[in-house]
Amino acid sequence: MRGNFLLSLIAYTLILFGLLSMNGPLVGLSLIYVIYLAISYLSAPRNIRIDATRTISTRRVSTNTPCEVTISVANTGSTLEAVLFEEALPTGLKVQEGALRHIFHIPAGKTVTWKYTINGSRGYYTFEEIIAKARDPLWMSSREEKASANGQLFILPPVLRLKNLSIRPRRTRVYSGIVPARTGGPGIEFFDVREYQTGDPLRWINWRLSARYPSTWFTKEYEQERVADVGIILDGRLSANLISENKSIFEYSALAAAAVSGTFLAQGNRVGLLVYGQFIQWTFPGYGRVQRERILRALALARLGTSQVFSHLEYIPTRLFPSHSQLILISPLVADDPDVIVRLRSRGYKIVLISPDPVSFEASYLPDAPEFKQAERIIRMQRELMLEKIRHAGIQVVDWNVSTPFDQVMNQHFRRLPVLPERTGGRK
Amino acid sequence: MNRAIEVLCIVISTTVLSAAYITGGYITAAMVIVFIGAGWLVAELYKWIPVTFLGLLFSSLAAGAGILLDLQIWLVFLGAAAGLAAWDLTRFNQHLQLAADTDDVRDLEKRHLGWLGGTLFIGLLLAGGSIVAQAQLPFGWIMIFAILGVLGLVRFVAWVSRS
Repeated sequence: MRGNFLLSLIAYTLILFGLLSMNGPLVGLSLIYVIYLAISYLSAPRNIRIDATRTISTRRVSTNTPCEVTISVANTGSTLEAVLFEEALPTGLKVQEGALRHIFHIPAGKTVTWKYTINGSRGYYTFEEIIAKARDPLWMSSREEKASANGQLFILPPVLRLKNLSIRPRRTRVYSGIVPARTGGPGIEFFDVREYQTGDPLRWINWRLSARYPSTWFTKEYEQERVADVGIILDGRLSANLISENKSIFEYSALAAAAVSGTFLAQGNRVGLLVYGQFIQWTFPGYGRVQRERILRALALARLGTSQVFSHLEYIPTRLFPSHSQLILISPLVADDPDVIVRLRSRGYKIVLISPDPVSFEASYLPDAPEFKQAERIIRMQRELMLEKIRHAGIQVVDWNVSTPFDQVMNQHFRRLPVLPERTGGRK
Repeated sequence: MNRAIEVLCIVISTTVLSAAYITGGYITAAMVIVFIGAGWLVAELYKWIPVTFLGLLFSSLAAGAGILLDLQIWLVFLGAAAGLAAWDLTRFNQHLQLAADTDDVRDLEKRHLGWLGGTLFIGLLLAGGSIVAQAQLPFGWIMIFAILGVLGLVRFVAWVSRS
């Protein structure tokens, strides 16, 4: 029951009975309640004039890194006896320190400030308004006002440092880098021998071969190292990533994409990102730190989705990637995917498949029962067959058990594997 | 601090109202008031908020009945005012639970207690004044005031319901 209604009822009853029974003290008793109501009514805030500003300590932050939000509210109207400020935090963020609700007494012209610390999962968050509920001095009635206090925050996936991430695409770009270019010229690794040409450095002359053919001089060529085009395809299909009702392996895929893109960009390569899920989210290829930021923001926005058109990898728009470039596909894989990936390989792309292992991921949540173990074995065999089919097509496969740190897995994998010879086609 | 005053108000309301009934010779009614006051106190300690509405309703009912029974008027007024204060403070404390740890709750409490004290003082003063300065009005005037009062209260209740 509302307080003012109850008080009105009591006062009304007392006055009515007082008048009917011609009892003055009864009407006098009602004055206690009437005065309470009257003061509450007369002192109720008529209008609230406030200006709110929100300051966020940073516009971008890594996952689970605390970020401080400061809100200042200036009272440009009359004195507010008591104001409750509250706001709803966007889903995915949580308060680490401080509170979202505050009550202040704000004299006219004064400003109040409060702070809280938040953290959260990967995403792009917008803050919009705060709600102010001003109360009368007896806290009987309230008046609500919304004050705009906009802000935005990118929570980016952590960028792990990867070592030895060597690739060997068929085609490279003209700028020097660290990717072997399959072309003779200045470099480190021996590539070929050719006839001496004017201007070749003397230390490049192959003396042994030149001695064998006295009329000709021969020069050693080294393999040029250049930057390459790297296209990262992040599989955001719900069917591939959603393991059970609330558990998704997509966060690991996003983490892998951030690490790989960061490493390739640090090596000087031109990197683009395609998030393939409910729709196609394409980050145009580019170089350097700006591109790194663009990709991280795209990853912050990446969400799982389902679409009839993009339910299969079949519709990856290969036109976006230069022919014979390097593709990094990050996907947990579903049954139809290996054929599509092999076809992609046959078009001349060099592919590295990074596949977060959904079987171990799901098994870690299941009870330790024999029937689950049996099911796990069967599904694992199916997955092994899929991965084997892809490996036979000359595709490097990183089978990532997500309980192991990604950088550790990648460093081990790329240290162990030498550059693979060219090979296409499946198992004969 | 607020909570202690709140409990004190319940105790005062119960004690004063029961004292008024005892001095009037209504021992059983006084015992009922003490019993209900104890129940209100227990409900307050366990934070059963809806019971405070019943507490306010009962204290005003007991005060109204006390006036009809010609009990000590000042005791009755005081009991009613203390009941209203207890109910108000319960609501206030409930609202204060939304405040953050860093908020200056003590200042809000002081300000509210100041307003509440002032309001009750004015209310008691006017109620007492209405007893001291009694004027004999003709029946017609009484009817007009009654109709105006009822209409005014109806409009007020309607405004309260809307807001």
